[in-house]
Amino acid sequence: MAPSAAEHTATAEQFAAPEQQREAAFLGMWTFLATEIMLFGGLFFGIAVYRWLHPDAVREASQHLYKSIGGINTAVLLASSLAVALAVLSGREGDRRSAVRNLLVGAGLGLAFLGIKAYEYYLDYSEGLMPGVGPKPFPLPPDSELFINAYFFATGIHAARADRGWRAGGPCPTPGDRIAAAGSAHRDRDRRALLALRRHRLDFSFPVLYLVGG
Amino acid sequence: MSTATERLALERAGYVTACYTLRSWLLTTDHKRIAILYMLAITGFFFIGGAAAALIRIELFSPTGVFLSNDGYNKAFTMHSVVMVWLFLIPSIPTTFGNFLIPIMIGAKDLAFPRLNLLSWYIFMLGGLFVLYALVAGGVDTGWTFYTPYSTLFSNSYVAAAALGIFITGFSSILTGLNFIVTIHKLRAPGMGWFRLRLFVWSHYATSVILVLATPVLALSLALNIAERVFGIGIFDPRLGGDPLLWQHLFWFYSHPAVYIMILPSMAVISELISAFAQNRIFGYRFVAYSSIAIASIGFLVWGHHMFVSGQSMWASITFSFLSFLVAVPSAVKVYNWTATLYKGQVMIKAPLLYAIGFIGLFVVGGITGLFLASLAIDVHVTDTYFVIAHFHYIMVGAAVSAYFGALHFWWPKMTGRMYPEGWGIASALLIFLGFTLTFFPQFVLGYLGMPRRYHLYDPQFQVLNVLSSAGALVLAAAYLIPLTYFLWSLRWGARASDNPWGADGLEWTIASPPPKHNFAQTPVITRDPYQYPLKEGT
Ligand SMILES: [Cu+2]
Repeated sequence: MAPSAAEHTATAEQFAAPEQQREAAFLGMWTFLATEIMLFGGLFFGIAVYRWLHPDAVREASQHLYKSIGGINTAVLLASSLAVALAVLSGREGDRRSAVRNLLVGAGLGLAFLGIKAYEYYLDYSEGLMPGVGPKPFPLPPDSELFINAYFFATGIHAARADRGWRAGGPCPTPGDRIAAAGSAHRDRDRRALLALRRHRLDFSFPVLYLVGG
Repeated sequence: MSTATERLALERAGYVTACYTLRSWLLTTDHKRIAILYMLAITGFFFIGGAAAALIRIELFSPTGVFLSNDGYNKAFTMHSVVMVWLFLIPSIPTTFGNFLIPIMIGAKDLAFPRLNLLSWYIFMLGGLFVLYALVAGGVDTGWTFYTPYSTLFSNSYVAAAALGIFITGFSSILTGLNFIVTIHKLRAPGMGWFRLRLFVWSHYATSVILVLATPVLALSLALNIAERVFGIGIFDPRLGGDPLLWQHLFWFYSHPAVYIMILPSMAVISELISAFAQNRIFGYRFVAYSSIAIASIGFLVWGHHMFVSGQSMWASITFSFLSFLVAVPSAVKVYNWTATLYKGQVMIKAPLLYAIGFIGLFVVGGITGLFLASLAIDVHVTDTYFVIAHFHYIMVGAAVSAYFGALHFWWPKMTGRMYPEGWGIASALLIFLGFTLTFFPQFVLGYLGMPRRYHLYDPQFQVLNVLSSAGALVLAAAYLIPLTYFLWSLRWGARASDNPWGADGLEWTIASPPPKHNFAQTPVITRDPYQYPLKEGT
C-alpha cells in the first residue's frame, strides 16, 4: 500500500520516510522500557538482598499481605493490558468502534485496579502496616518492616505510573507520550501500539512482591 | 519569486542568524541551538563548582583552616562535588558536542526526537535549580555519595532537595541517551554503515547505553533515600536490620559507570582531535570502536572496587578487583592506537592537539593509579586518602575537562563561525596543564603519606604539599578564565572561520561555519570510510 499524501506531510522533517519515523518511535519506546526494567530491577535486587538477610522476617511479613487481593489485582491489570492490546489489533483492522470499546474496557479495568489497590492499602492501614501512620503500632518484628516498606514503595510507584499510563496522551504529556507522539504523526494505530507497549511493561513483575515469602 | 529567494536565503543562513528572538531560542527544537543552551547552562555550573573548589583549596592553605567553619568546609566540598559531577561532567560533552555533532556526523537533519531533546534541557534546568536551592538554602554536608545512614537519619542539611534535584537531572540524562541511541540506529544517511561512523559517534553510542541503563538505578536509589529521609520509610535503617551497604551497592552501580559517562565522550573527542591534527587515518579503527563498547559493558561489573574496606566478602572483592583490571585493557587499546596515529602522522601543533596530548598523559597517570587502587592490598593503605582524590581528578579533570576544552577549541569555529586567537589558545592549554599538575600531583604524595580526604584540619607535616596544591589551584582557576575571555572576545572580533579551518575530514567540515538550520542542502550519500587523509580537494 503506497502511503497517501497526507501521511507524507505528517512525517517530521528529520525523517526521510514515514517508515523510518515509525521504526524510530518503536525503538525509542523499547529503550524507554529498558530504563524501567533497570529502575525496578534495582528495587527487586534490594528486596532479594533483604529476603536473604532476614528470611524469617520477610516470610512473616509477606504472609500479612493479601495474596488473594494481589492475585485478583494482577489478573485485573493483565486483563486491562489485554483489552488495550486488542484495541491495537482492532485499530489495525480499521475497526474503530471496537478499538474504542476495547480502550474503554482497558481504562475501566485500570481504574478498577486502582480502586482495589486503595482498598488493600486501607486494610494494611487498619492493621498498622503502613509506615508512619495507622491506628495501631507496627504489629511485626522490626526487620519485617523493611520488607513492608519496600512493598509500599514499589506498589506506590507502580500504581502512580500505571495511573499515568491511563492518562497517557492527556493534557500533561510525559516523555513516553512524546516518543509515542513521534510515531503518531504517521498513523493512529501506531500510537495505540506504542501506548500499549508502555502499559504492559511492569504488569508481570508486580506479583513477585506477594510471592517472595515462598 | 521574492519569497522563494527569501526562503532560500533563510535556508542558507546559519542556525544562529535564522532568527534572533529569545522565544526562538527557548522554544527551539534545533539540535544545534539546544547544544548552545546546554553549553550556557553548564558553563555557569562549571564556574559555580569551580568557586567551591577555590574555597576548599584556600581553606587548606593552613592546617588550622582560614575562614570556614568545619560545617562550612563539609558543605563546600559537597557543593563542589555535586555540582561538578551532575551539573557539569555528566552532561558536558554529550549534551553540547554530542547534541551539535552527532546528527551532522551521520548526515541527518536533527536528532530523532527534537522536542524530547528540548524537554531534556528543561528537565536538566529544573533539576539544576533544585540543587542550587539546596546549596543556597543552607547547603548539604554528606559529600556527593550520600552514604546512609548519615544522609537519611542524621544530617541536618538540605539532603532531600539536592537528591531530588539529582533525581530530576537523571531523567534528562536518560532522555538524551535514548535520543542518541535511536538517532544513531535509525537516522544514518544512505551508505553510512556502522563502520563508516566516526569514532566520536561510536563512543557516544556506548555512553548512551550507560546513560539509559545506569541512570534509572541512581533514580531509584535517590528515591529510596528521599523516602527514608523525608517520610521515615525505613529502607537502609540499621535499627530495623536494614543494610547501609545496600545503599553503597545501588549508588556505585550507577556511579562507577558514571565515570565512563564522563570519559567515553572525552575519548570520542580525542580520537577526532588526534586524527585531524596528525592528518592521519586513525590507527586500528575497529579496535578503537569496539573498545568503547567493551568499556561500557565491563564498566557495569566493577562497582565493588569502591567497597573493598566496607565489609564486603573477600571473594566479591577479588572478583571486583580482577574485573577492574580487565576494564583497563580497552582503555589501553585506545591509548596505544592514538599514539600510533600520532607516530605515523603529519603533526600540526595547535591548541586542540595540546589538549589531546595533555589528555593522553593525564589519563594514563589517572588510569595506572586506578590500577593501584584496584589492587586489594594497596587499596587498604590509601582508601579515603588524597591518593584517591588525586586519582579521580586526573581522570575527571585532567582527562575529561581537558577533552572538553579540546573540543571547544576544535569545533568553536564550526559552531560560531569565528576563530579563537591561536597564541592565547596554546598559552592557556599549557597553563592549564601546569596548573593541573601542580594542584593534583602533590595530592598523590599526600595520600600516600596518609592524609585523609574530606578533613578540614590536618597535621602540620602536610602543609608544604597542601600549599603547593592550593597554589596550583589558583593557577588553574586563572587558566580556566583565559579561554572564557577570548572565546567571548572572538564572537565579535575573531577572524571569520572557513568551512574547514583545520583541513579535517568529516561531514561537519563540508558544510558552512556556522552550519545552516537543516545542516545539509541535500541528504549526503556516503561512499567511503572516515578519516581519509591526506584530504583530496573537493571531498
Ligand atoms: Cu569505580
